[in-house]
Amino acid sequence: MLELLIITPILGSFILLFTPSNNVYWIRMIALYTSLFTFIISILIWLFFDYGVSNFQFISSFLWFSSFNINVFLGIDSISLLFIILTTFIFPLCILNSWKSVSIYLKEYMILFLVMESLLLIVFSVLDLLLFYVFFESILIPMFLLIGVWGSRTRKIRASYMFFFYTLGGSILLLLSIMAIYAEVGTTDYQVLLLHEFSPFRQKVLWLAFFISFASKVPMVPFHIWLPEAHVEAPTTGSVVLAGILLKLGTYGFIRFSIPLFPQATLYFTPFLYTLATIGVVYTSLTAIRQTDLKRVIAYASVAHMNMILLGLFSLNIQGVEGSIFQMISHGIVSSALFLCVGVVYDRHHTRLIKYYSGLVHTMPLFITIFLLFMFANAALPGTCNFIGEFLILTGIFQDNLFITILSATSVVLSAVYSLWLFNRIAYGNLKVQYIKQFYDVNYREFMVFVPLIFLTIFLGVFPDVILNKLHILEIYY
Amino acid sequence: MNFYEFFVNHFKLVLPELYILFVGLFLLMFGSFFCSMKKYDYPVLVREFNYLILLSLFFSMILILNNPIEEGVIFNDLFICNFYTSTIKFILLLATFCTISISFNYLKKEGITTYEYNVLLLLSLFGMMCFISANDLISIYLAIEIQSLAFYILAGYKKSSAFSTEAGLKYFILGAFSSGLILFGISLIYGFTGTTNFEILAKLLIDISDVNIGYLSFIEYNNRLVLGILFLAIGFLFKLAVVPFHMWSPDVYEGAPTSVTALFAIVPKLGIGAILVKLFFFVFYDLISTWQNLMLYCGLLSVVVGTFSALYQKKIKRFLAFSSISQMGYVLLALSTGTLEGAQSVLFFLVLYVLMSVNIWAVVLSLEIQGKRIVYITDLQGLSQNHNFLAFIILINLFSMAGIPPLAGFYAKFFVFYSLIESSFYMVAVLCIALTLFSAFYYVKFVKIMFFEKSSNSFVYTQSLDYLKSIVLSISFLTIVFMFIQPNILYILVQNIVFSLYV
Repeated sequence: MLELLIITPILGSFILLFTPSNNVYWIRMIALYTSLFTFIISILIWLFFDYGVSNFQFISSFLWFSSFNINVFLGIDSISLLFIILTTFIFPLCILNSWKSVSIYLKEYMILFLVMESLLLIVFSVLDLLLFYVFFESILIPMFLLIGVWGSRTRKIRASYMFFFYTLGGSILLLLSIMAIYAEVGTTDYQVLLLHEFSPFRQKVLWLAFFISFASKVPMVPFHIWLPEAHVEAPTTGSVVLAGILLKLGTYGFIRFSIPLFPQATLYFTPFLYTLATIGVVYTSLTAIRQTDLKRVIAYASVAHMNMILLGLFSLNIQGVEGSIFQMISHGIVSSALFLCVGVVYDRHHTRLIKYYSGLVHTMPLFITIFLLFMFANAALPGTCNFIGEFLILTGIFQDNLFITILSATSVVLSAVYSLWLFNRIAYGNLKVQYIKQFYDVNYREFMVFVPLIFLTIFLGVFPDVILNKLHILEIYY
Repeated sequence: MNFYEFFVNHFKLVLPELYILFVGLFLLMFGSFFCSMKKYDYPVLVREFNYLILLSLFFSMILILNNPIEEGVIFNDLFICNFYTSTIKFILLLATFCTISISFNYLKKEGITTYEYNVLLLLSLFGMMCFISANDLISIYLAIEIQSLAFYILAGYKKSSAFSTEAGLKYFILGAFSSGLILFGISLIYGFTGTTNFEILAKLLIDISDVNIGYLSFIEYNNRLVLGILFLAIGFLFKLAVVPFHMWSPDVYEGAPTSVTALFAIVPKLGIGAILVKLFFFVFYDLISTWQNLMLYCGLLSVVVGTFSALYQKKIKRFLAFSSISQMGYVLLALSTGTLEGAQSVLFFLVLYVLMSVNIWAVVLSLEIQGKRIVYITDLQGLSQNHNFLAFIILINLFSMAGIPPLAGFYAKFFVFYSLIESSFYMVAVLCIALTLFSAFYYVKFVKIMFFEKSSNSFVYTQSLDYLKSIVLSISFLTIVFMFIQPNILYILVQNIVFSLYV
């Protein structure tokens, strides 16, 4: 089942290779149907998943490097399943959104997207450390091309460089630590590694190496500079994929590898990580208030949310961990939706500066309603999914450390500040007709892109048990 | 000696080399008679000779695979043939085949109209095949001389260009000097041990570092042997162009005609890498304390100097020269670990290096700008607009050289680093992997120039992309991309090669 899930986008991209470049209709159709088919397969996996057991399901293994005892081992548990669903859910929306906005090299764009979807699905389902690293890094190439070729202005080169080198630089130490683990244990199979105990000193060194890599993906404060640049310069759907899924790779790495493999080191470094994450939350929230570019505000908001997720994760109690996983899913939904909103505006007027927009509620009321909902979700309004996640995270941290809770709870206030102020400046007031002269509201296709996201935001906000129920079995780990 | 055995059995084992030699000599004589006959109007036979050597390489590959006798030591213990030698010879022949097939149109465009080019190629190939199957220090020296002499002439082949003549002269002087160093080392070793045969040397030196004479260890008492080994090693390192013996390589690469540079970059590295593995893992393995530090420092310096110098290069051929210097640094680092995984990763890296070099030089040989060949990196501006897929092939190749997963170059670097970590060379590994990050910068710069910038007035064409070159390009590209499916195939082959060293 998992192999079928992974092969489908690659097959779609392979078929796209043979489509002539000027046949735009067929390129879009093939890409869209491939991603929808992948989504249906992942729903089937969701249906056949057994939530009563805590071990990995849908396991399959292939011989890969038998002389090194490293083999391809695919399997999912409930965390991976959630991320796979998130991935296959967001990609059709992205492809649907790039109907009209991509003007050059549409065929290569779709091929890159489908290949990236396949790589992401492999990352979330592989249970082998080396293969996780290989595919974790191999996302760099498509993303680098995506930002650099289809980005909007010349600053995109700098943005794609920063993305590439921050991520690559972080992960080189991860490669060395994987080799050190392999030299000690003799295999990189995840389930065998879980049973192995490393010595405390070694755990700390390896934890730090893993930390640097995942921290630049999350991103945590000293290594976060690439995120605003990459988000702003990427095309709309590139930002959606970046915010919705690629940021989760870092925290997925923490959940999957750092915490279970190195427990004593996790406890040792928790204060360090709390400090960095709290600084991240407060500092980036404050920075988000001053931004003049629409996408930058949402990018900094993403950093703040991701650092909040890390805080909940390292509190290591059931509320914190479940809250952080739930917040990852809901952040994936809400941030993707926000970037899609900005994309709607950008497609029409080709500028992202806030000062050119004002009073849009008079001419684009439907769009503003959708935008308001997602802005409220960003501010963690009760009733939206973000509230559940943030509340659970704060409950989790509260049980661990009161000071950190107080500091990070300021994020609730700050996120309301930047979200609502941004929304206020764009939506209400007078129309600035000296800058913008033609207005048209969201059309049917764009509205349909938002409908699933709106539904999920409110549905998960009032009935989070759909996801939380699946995660209770993880109490065995924590 | 037993002449019956000599003429009946021994020649059967050197059939591939003999075939190449005789084809070379025959073509030389044929060409010198035929091309100077007025009756046939002084024909220019370069293209036909090119096809003839491709055919003879193909036959030679078949000969290697189907040799009547598979293993043996011949010519009074001067030559050895086993699985190690035949596999590496096969890969060498394949690499030369690809190198010649990508340089057809280039030769025509540059006006190389003399058939001796092909003859020299064959003679250098003969030299290379001989030194791989050498079992004695003298035969290694003789074979290296044959190969190097042919290369010196090839480097200075374009007599009308002062650049090329300068390159030939530099290569000749430095190559002769390094051959002298090798000979001096051989004479020291012979003077000390009384033999130059590999097998006898290996048996002589078993567990030698445990021997103590008085209060000195064996090595301190007999430093003549150590000196001999060091001279030998340094001579070979000169030929491999690693730091601090690398100064000739960018100038020679830049000055020689591009097809000859492709030959230099692709083929001898594998040959000399194979010699180094055989010398230091079979013959002098027990004296590891003498050569381990040398290899380690040379490797580290090569990676550092190669990486930092390549950052500043503006011309493509010099850039590729420095990039190959830094990659040979990785080879030396893997060699210096002294473990079996180290030897395996050396050969694995070299095979993948040959693959990636064939690809990149095929591309360099096929582009031209305003009717002339490309010289500067910025000449590639806007390649993605005119030749979408070719630019993508270059991108994949460069990312593979930088070591980005899941491309082939990542596995090569992975094994090198794995052998370093396994031998506890932690700081070296951390430093080199940081330098891998720096090298990714200049490879990405290439990509940026090709993809992200709009082209200026002059356009890059691919008029020299003929059928054979496109086949070589596409097969090497597909291998680089799809190596991640089963890298085990190549790795088991390399493991078998290294194990058969000791049989």
